[in-house]
Amino acid sequence: MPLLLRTVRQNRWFKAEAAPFLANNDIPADCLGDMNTTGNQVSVWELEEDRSNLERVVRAVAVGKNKIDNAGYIVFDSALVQAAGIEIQNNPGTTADTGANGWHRDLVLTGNKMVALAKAIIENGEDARQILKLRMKELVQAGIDLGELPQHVKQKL
Amino acid sequence: MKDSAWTSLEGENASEINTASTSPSIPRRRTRGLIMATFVLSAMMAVPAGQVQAPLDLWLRRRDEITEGSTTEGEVDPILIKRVREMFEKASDEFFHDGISSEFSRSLLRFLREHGRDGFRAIADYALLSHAKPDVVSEALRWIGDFDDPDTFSQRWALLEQSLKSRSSKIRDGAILGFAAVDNPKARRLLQQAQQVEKIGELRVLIDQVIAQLERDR
Repeated sequence: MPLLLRTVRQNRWFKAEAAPFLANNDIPADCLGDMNTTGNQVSVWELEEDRSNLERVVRAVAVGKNKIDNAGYIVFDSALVQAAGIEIQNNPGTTADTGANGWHRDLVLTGNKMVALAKAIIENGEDARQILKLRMKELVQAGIDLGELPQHVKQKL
Repeated sequence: MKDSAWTSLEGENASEINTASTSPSIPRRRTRGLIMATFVLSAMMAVPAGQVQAPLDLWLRRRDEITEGSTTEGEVDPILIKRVREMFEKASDEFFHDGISSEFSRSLLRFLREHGRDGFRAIADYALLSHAKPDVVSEALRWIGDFDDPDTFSQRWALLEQSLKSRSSKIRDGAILGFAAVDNPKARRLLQQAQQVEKIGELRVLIDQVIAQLERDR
């Protein structure tokens, strides 16, 4: 099953900190703040099998923010989504990197499904990671040089 | 102070905490220890800019030479502390996201621009002796690390160094990212020391990333 990526703030997903919650069949509420929905959908990105597009999709999201910054993310198997009965829609993204937008997916959530997904990600997903700001700046500059990102993004560097 | 996120102080005063006290909530001797710790940190904050290495040693060596700032050594302007407290308390209602400015970050930067060194001392004083929310302190450290001001460099360094020892993983996270933003290779040793005692696996990996950044060719 393909891997999915969701951008998050890393320090809300530390597994050791979530363990006491999971022991009580619960999750830290802060995680849900990273699952903000629009129209009951939450954005995720599908990764290539070799993860070669990982930095590109995180960059695509990052350039839409106020400033180029550290960018946290978490990777999980799409099997977790299916097991939670969550529908995956192949809706293209709307980022400045048009070449990355094809990897975008929407997960159709309800309140219960959101909690179930967050719990499944904490329990069975990978450790949250982040791309440091300096590296992100390099990625953005490379994206501009390669024509993957529009020139106007340069003003954020 | 039981909820305080700052273990380094608690650890140093652990023996005192267990001794008899007239106050069940805030042992007197422990309070003295915290006040002393704040005094030391405040003094560290007064170290002139550009002197990066071992701020505490530097302070001990040069404490008689320090005369800068509008307040005397160890004192922090109560009005500034009040403003800091209000700013941090208001921010506890905010939810922070990577790459997105917040009302708090804008207020913090404005405050630092207006008050410089005294502002930093007020922030350190508040964060060390209060129940500041770890999310807010963590967010502050990210922005403080990124605050481009040579005049307060050693102050920011001291605050980040102290924050690496916090009991809160979120505050340690903010400190690590603050050092990444400062991007000074001299932080390498501090980060390695922090990594040796770090319990959160994700933070150990993050420290590796920051060390790799610091070791890159420049």
